[in-house]
Amino acid sequence: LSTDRDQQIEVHADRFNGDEVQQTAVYAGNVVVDQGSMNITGAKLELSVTPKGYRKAVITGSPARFKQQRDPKTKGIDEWMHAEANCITYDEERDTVTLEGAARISRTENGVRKDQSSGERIVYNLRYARSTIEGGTTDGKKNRVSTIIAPRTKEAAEPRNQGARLSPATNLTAPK
Amino acid sequence: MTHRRLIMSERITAIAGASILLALVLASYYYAVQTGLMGLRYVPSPESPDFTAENVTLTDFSPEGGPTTRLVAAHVAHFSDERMRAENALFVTLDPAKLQTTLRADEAWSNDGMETVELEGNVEYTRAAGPAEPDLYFRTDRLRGWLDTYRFDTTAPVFMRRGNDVTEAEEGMVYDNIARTVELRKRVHTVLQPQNFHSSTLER
Repeated sequence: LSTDRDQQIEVHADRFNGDEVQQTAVYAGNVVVDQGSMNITGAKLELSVTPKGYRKAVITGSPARFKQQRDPKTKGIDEWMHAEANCITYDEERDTVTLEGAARISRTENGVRKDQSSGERIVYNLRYARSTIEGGTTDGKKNRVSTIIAPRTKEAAEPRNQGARLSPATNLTAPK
Repeated sequence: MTHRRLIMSERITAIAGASILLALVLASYYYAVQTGLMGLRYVPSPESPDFTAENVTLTDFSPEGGPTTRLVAAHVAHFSDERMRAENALFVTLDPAKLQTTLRADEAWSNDGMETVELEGNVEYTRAAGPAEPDLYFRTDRLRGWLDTYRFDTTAPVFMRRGNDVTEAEEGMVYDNIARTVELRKRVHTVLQPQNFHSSTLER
């Protein structure tokens, strides 16, 4: 949600190592990061502070997972973004989540997966909900990215600017 | 006849009692004379201190004459085997070149001439904010510290606040004030405030 960035960030883990000189904090073991509706899980989290004071969190796991609720656009539709990768980087300044290594991102509506993309590296912009997918290269050969976009259902496909649908009145009496 | 025998046995009993008493008096007098005061020596026991002090302020100075550390305590007891105990102890660093730190506890023990200290009960550590780092505070039930290397460790639960961010750990901590590193163990829970947070609403 757009309000997530104004919420507290809660981190749970088994162990913590902080280094004030390097300005880093490393959480290890069953790491869970929550900020509003955003939730990231993994094996290890390295939290650092940029010179401007913004936080940067690098979570690794096999895989590390990310999910966040989208601002509701259509009534009754609960929309979530889900992602997983070997390494997830959350950049508070740019408001982006970068997925690297077997990266996969998908969108669900009321729990049903709608769209899905996968590639070697995905940069997801939390503010504009926009993804940039790179295939990466293996042995010098460029890999391809893949995206699956679910067909829009009939009601959802109707143009929006039609306005309310009118129907004849049933209980008005004849004018006197 | 019976009457005379009764009086005789009473007389014998009285004489015996008086004789025993006399023997005790003579023996005590003999020992008192034998024991010279010169040879008397206080043999300290682990439980009895060889000096105590009330409402103490001890200040340590550097070779250049500047105060470096101060220990304030309600009661201090020193023992002959170099152990020292302080109640309501407050330890403050005064070196202007370093960030001021304070360490407070209900009871503090030093078993090796102040090389290490064992703190027990409402242990609180604070370090002032610096140019590049926020203030630091932690609280635990017991703590062991090495005053020369400024290293502290505990196996008790710890509450730590660094600037606006709060961290709790269930089973202990190792804090090194020289290397500026802290390690927390078991069920660590951190709450980081968002960027637009105002620190006035924070719990101490």
